[in-house]
Amino acid sequence: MSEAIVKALDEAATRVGASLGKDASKAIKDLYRDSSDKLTGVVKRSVESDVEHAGKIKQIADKLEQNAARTDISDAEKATNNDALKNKLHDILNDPGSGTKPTIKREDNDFSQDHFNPIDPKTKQPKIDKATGKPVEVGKSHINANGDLEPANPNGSTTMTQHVIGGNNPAIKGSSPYTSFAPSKGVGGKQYGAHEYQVDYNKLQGDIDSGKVTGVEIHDPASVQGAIQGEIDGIAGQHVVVPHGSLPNGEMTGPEKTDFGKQLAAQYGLKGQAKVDMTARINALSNSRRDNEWLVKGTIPGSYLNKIR
Amino acid sequence: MDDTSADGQYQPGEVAERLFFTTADGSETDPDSAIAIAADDQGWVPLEPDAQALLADESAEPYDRYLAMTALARWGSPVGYAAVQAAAQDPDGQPWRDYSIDRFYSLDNTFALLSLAVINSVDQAEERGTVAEKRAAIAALIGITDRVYFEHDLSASTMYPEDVEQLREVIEAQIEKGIAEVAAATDDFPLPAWVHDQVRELIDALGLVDKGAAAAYLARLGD
Repeated sequence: MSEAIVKALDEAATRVGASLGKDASKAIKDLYRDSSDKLTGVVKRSVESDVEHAGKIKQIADKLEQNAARTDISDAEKATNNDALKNKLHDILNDPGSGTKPTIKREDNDFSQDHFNPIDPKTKQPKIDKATGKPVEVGKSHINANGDLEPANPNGSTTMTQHVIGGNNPAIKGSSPYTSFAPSKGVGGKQYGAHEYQVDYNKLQGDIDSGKVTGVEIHDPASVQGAIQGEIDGIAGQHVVVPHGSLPNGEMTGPEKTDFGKQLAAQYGLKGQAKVDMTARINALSNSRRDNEWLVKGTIPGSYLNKIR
Repeated sequence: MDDTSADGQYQPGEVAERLFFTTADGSETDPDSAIAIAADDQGWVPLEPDAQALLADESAEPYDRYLAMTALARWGSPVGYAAVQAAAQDPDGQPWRDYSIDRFYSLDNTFALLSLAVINSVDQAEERGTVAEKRAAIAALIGITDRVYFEHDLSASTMYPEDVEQLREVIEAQIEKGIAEVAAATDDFPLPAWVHDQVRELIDALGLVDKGAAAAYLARLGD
């Protein structure tokens, strides 16, 4: 679960090194790598202690990388910014968290239904698809007969990025093996759905690691954003630094997304499908940063679900 | 095993299949790609007559007609903008509601996606001289933010400062209405949480052009 965060930090540190020198890179890596220089427990412990940490560390990794890539400020200014970000990283890695059990949550007005049947506003009856002659079904994540949380289609082929992009194709959503979760800040707060389930992701990840649970993957915000970033890099043919926008959590405004998309299209000669794909992924990355979205692939056994309401 | 059987899922009719699920060379695509690709270099020109006919065809599948409306709005068509305005007059009466849901809460997001099509038609509206029609459509959507879930799509993360400036009166009226509705909500008559959040997002959008006014509204909303 924390591998994507370490990867993001490693990549950021490498780019800091290329811009500000080996010492600056080492100073960052020293914060989260064990002396053995293997995958550290520091990041793992941090993510396990507070659900907000994964998103925050990823944001700092992004900002370290963006600062290193800047050409509009001096090296001294970049070094100052780098030190400030490094200190923030240190603080988060050493923050013990709120002390409450970290969880992710999902809300829905009706978890028992595996699909919606859109209702005809005139007849008040389920709409019948003209092509199939059957009631229209819109698949969704739900609690199945076994009490497990099942995605719209556990065996579906929708990718993580397609799931986040969403869009106007019901078939893509109906074929998603993923369920979206938001970081939980405990019990209470604003309710978007009548019912809520929370998942203790540490317990679930531990049992995935031990082999007790199979067919389930937990993707923290760094993993989700890393998957989208990978597709952005693939379209461009090289790594693209997607700047944090001016809104909270690094979300971009409409004009910021449009301008950056046009800039990339011109820079990499993107047209047609490639341009559309790039634009969609820039939007998805910005939205995922805003939401600090977690994804779980596969069906979550009911024993890992905590019904809040 | 990949199981993507479409039993019960929406199936496009012949015209929608051709317009939104098939590329010019006959290969498979999706509506978002088809609509966005046609938005460049006046790619809409050969497609617009069929899209308009589909939108007007009351016997067609509701979601086919919804996609036609989305496409026409995204392409800066005055017909598309007018259809969005009309739909916003009776949001609960639209037969394509619930054909699409958001990934976090399984809430209908058809109007949210529609709002993106309108807002993102900046260049097309400029090119076709339909900016006023586009803004009228956005205004109609803003007017139902206390009744319809917009999934963050009428906010500072989507709206353009020029549109916010021109629609300021509409936005402020809706903010006032929203603040009053939030204040009047009780445990017996609660509002969905997204109503409060959408008032907040309209305030944030206003903040793109007037931070002082936005701060004052936020204080009144209690955020």
